[in-house]
This record gives sequence, C-alpha cells and structure tokens, in this order.
Amino acid sequence: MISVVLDVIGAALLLVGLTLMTISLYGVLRLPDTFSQLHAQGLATGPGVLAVLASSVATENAAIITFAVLAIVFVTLTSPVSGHAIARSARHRGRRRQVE
Amino acid sequence: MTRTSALMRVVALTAIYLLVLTSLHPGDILTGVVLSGIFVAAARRIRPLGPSPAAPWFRRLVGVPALVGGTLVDVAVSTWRTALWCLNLRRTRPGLVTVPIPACGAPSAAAWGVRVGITPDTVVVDLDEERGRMLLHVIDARDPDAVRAEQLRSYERRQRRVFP
Repeated sequence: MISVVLDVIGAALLLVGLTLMTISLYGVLRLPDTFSQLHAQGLATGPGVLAVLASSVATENAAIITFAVLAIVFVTLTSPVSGHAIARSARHRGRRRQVE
Repeated sequence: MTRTSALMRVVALTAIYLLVLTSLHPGDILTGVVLSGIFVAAARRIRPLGPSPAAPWFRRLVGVPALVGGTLVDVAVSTWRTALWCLNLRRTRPGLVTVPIPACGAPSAAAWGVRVGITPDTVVVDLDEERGRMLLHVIDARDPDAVRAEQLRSYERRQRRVFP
C-alpha cells in the first residue's frame, strides 16, 4: 500500500517537475530580456529540479534518496547565487552600454 | 570564526563527503577531513562572513520549521505566478525595486538573499548589507510599495527568528 502511494507521489512530482521545466524553456525562448529570462529559468533550476529530485522517494532506496536530499540542499543554496551573479552582470553590462 | 566553529564546519563537510561516497573507509575519512580543512581555510580567507547572530541557538532552532515551511509556501505561490507569466496568461510589468533591509549582519543578509532568490518571481540583483538595501527584479513591479511590504513581512514572519 505504502509502495503504491510513494509511486503515485513520485510520478506526480516527476510530472510537475517536467511541466515546470517545459514552461521554463518556453519562457526563456519567448521573453525579451535577461532579467525576464532569469525568472523563467528560475522555474527550472529551482522548483523544477527540486520536484524531479524529490520524486526519488518512489525508488524507496535509501542511498538514492540520500543523494537526492544532498542534491536538493546543494541546488537550494546554489541556484539563487547563480541567478544573482547573472543578474548582477546583466545590470553592469546595461550600465556600461548606457555610458558608451 | 572561532576554532570550534571551524572544527564544526570541517566535521559537517566531511560528513557530507562520506555520505556522497557512502563509505566509512579510513582513507576516505582522511581525504574528507583534508579536503574539508582546505575548503574551510580557503573560504575564511576569501571572505569572512563575520560573527554569527547573537540570539541563542535553541531559540533560532525553534524558528527553523517556520522558515522552511514558509519558504516552501513562498516558492509554491511564486512558481504558480511565474508559470502563468511565462505562458502569457498573467499580464504584469516587470521591473527593479529597491527594498530597504533592517540592520543585520552579513550571514542574515545572505540568508535573506538565498530565501528570496529561490522564489522564481524575484531575482536578487544587488545586496548591500552595509547600506541596508537590496535591489530586486520582480515580475510585477506595478506597486513597488507592496513589494517592499511583502518582503519585510516575509522577513519578520519567516526569517527573523533564525537569522535576526
């Protein structure tokens, strides 16, 4: 019974994650500037990846789930930093262009 | 950073290293300790974060569920808004908003930046804890005061207890 519930939760999380990644890709292609594209990519690198990693509960394998939890912590800490670095350079580039 | 906190960091990093390897082999433990030691020493020289918040650790620990749960709620709401915006189902005007942040140390400002940055509808463009301001790019900048109020409310409710 628990196994079936975990399978359903895993499948739902996988579906949510892949849907978010698809929407993110569409947003990155459609949106006009770097800042807007950063919001779109934030869907994939944040909740999208986290949902896919969390779907590992369906495996019921302690080693895989441990790796997934470590990856979730790593992504949670690094994803905002990478977004910030890109946003900061985009702003500096915009300022430099204005000066030129 | 005191010697004890440096030691705690080395132990925590070594534990993560061993978890990734799923091994307790003495050689792996030694490699983990050496790598963690080098990493902690290098991080200290690159940019010291300054003293940790003065609040007692048990009081900070009590606030962790609210911080994690509240951040998950923020991420879920923000994901929904951003997905609609990406699909052009929600018309907004994106833009930059400066948010004043209360006087807090570098660790608290960094935690604020990570907490805000993980939500897809806000991107941290600049964070200046010395001047006490954070520059955000948000997908709905029509009412900057509402954005500021929401950020400050979120800090008070979710983060202040853990990272004052």
